Amino acid sequence: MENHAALLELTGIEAGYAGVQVLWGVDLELREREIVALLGANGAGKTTVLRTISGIVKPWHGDIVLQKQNLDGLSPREIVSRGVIHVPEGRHVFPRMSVVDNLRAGAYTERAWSHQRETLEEVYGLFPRLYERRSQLAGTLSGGEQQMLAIGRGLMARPKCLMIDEPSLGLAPKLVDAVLDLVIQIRDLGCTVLLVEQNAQRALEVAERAYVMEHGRILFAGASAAVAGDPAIRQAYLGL
Amino acid sequence: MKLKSALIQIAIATVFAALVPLMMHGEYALHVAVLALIFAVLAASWNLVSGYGGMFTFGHQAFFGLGAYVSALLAMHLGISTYLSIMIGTAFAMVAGVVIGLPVLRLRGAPYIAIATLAFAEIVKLIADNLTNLTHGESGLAGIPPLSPIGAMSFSIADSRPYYYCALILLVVTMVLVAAVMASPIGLAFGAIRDSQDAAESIGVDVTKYKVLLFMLSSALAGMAGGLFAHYVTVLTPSSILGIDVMVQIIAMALIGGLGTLFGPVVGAIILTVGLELLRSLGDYQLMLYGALLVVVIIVLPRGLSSLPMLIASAATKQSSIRGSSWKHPIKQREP
Amino acid sequence: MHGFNIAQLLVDGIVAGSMYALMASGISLIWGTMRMLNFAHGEFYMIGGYTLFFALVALKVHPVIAVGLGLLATFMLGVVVERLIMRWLLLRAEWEMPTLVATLGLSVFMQNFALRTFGAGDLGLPYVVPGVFRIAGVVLPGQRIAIVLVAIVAFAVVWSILRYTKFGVAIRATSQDRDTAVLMGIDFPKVYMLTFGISVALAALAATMLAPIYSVNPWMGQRPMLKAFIVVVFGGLGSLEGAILGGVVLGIIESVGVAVVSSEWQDVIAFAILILVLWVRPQGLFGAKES
Ligand SMILES: Nc1ncnc2c1ncn2[C@@H]1O[C@H](COP(=O)(O)OP(=O)(O)O)[C@@H](O)[C@H]1O
Ligand SMILES: [Mg+2]
Repeated sequence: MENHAALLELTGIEAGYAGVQVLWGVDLELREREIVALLGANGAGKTTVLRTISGIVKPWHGDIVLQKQNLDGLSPREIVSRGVIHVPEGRHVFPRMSVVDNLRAGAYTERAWSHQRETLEEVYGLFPRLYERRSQLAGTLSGGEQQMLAIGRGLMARPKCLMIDEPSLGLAPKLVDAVLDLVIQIRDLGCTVLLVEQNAQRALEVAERAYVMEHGRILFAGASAAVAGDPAIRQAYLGL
Repeated sequence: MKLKSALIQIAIATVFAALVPLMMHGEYALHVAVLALIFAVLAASWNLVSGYGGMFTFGHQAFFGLGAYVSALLAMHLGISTYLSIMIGTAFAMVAGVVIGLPVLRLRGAPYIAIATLAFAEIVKLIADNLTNLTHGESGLAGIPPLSPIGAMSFSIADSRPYYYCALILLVVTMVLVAAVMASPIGLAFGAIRDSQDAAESIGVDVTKYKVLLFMLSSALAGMAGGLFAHYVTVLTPSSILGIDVMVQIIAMALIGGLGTLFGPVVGAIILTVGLELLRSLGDYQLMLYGALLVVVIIVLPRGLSSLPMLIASAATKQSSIRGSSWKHPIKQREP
Repeated sequence: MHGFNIAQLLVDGIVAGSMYALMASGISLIWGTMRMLNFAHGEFYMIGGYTLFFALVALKVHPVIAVGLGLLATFMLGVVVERLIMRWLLLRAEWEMPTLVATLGLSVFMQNFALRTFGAGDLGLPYVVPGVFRIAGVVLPGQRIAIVLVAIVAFAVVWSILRYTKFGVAIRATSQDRDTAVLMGIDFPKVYMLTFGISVALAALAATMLAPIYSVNPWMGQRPMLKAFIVVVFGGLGSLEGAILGGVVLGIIESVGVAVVSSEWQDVIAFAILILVLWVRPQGLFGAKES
């Protein structure tokens, strides 16, 4: 794992909404082909980190560098076309579009659109269920299926880095297993995964490294085993 | 605003307004002033529903026109006192306000409210157009009697001064009512309604009842303004008082002054009526100007002139602009 | 004359209805995508009418090219208006009322601009499609047949764009969940701009079809727009199918209504039905309840 090159680096990120600061100097590094967990209680600022990376929230200070290229000032569209994809919290599938049209929407960038067919095959390979339901309206899928669709839609952009916000939220334990299993498969396809979770226990089982956030700051960063093994962190920040 | 300070402000403004005719030269300037006051009543009454109540209606001209036509026709055909006819016209407008208010209250979303109220105003206009036996349609209902004399004071088309004071009284009554309603528990409830209908409902505010009340009051005031207007100009055509142009003027006045403020619509009415008279040389370009003004104001000064001091202050302290969002800023959640 | 011919009334209703549907579908498209009501829709219709008139009379181009010019000019004007005016308002947290006001102001401006520039007179145009057909007692001028065909083609094109193209996917995604569409890399301001252009071009198309039947004047867009409002309420705002169905239904109601109610009271009834529909079904007659 040590030989993996850095993919995405955040240094000293400060950001917020309408003048209210939420992030207070976040440093974070993702390397190629790894799963990193971003943990923390509700309101810690995890989603804001993802929004800042995907260009929806503009950082006030600090740098975001993707493979030596600074993402400063890029629009969400340009960031998506560079292969950094944000799968939003709460799935947010397009409810009155069919499953396949949801997936096509995910392939909106030029490069992804031209490879649409192959990617679609791959995604259907990973999610046979989506293939079965391909012409069904997304709003009629079950919660688990919608989560699969949201992730599949993210994959349609052929990402280098997939950021998944709280995929296990509201899912039965069996489905959580399935989703985390998929995260591993996605990583094995060569994609870096940033996994945001409140469900720390399960996230730590699949992630190689983990960051723990509180009040807009990174409190702890290290190997998953170290995080999981530290009784102070477990108790104070992860509620384990 | 506290009721007491609002009333004091209204009283001071009234004193100044009462002195205006003494300073004015010429019948024409006074005529413009009367129109400004009548439009101020319209704008202030529309503001009640749209500014305070948060229901952006597009059919306020219907109540104005109803009050005008009903009062004019009653006075002409039954020969009753114009004050009685205006009261009946006002009652008509009020009932119409309830009739259209009830369905509109069920609607959520500005577009449906706009369409429903516009459709209602179109109905009223078409009826006025079509009942040519009564209204003479676009050729105009002429020969409407001026206001009946009060004691020694008599009214005639030749002298605008008595009308000026009548219009001023109506405006003061309107503003006192608006101030009183807003200071009452009902007014507080409207604040809650405007902020969030759901929140208001959950704290047990009877939203529907209050909104119907608001509609009634607002349409009654517009109807009364219409009655006064009819017996002032003594000629009515459907397009001049029931056309959407009237609504455009009302909206422009309320917005320029500041929607949801006590004095905003009145100030807007005065500025626009007087200002456009000064720009009379523009002639037929006036309406074009109105249209352009609406667009510019809603973009540059969405809260009207009442927000100007705040804008200047924030510009001076170089704070982030009130207009706020370029799309690169956090994207606001919209209802899907 | 054969007094009361139900087939004729139905056919007339469908002809009128197809144009209402064209107008309404533009309004619905903008509503569905941008959540705003365009009160100036009728004035874009008017621009289409004037462009057709000048293309035919001054430039003397072929009618098909004239129609094309009408669409193009209106599309471009729509794009510019969206970019210069609507954009500022649509990005605000509160945009419903401001966009209503701005389009209302725009409508007044455009009408009076046309009045100053072109005058108040009615400009007449010859039928673009000549000839009259008679089928089983039903009288059908060529122009009216063309109207229905053009409407069908227009709907097919719009439907295919929405259904199959990348831009269509972007429109649908934006309309259903704008914030998530951004995460797909969809540039929603561009989507807004083009959608607005397409919407007003549909109004212009209706105008180019109807201008030869009625006439060209500064207020020509008022009635069609009010009719389209009725239609969108029938069909449910935001639904293309609803706009088509609602348009045809209104057209038929009106044409059959002539036999029952005198024409000057027809619109009164139409508007009254509209209010009644909103009372009973605030989401529209055929519209699904929005969650
Ligand atoms: N759109 C927004 N506008 C204003 N404040 C926000 C917005 N989204 C989140 N916040 C605030 O930012 C903080 C962090 O939220 P978030 O990033 O969603 O945390 P998490 O994802 O860890 O639960 C919270 O205090 C929240 O209230
Ligand atoms: Mg979150």
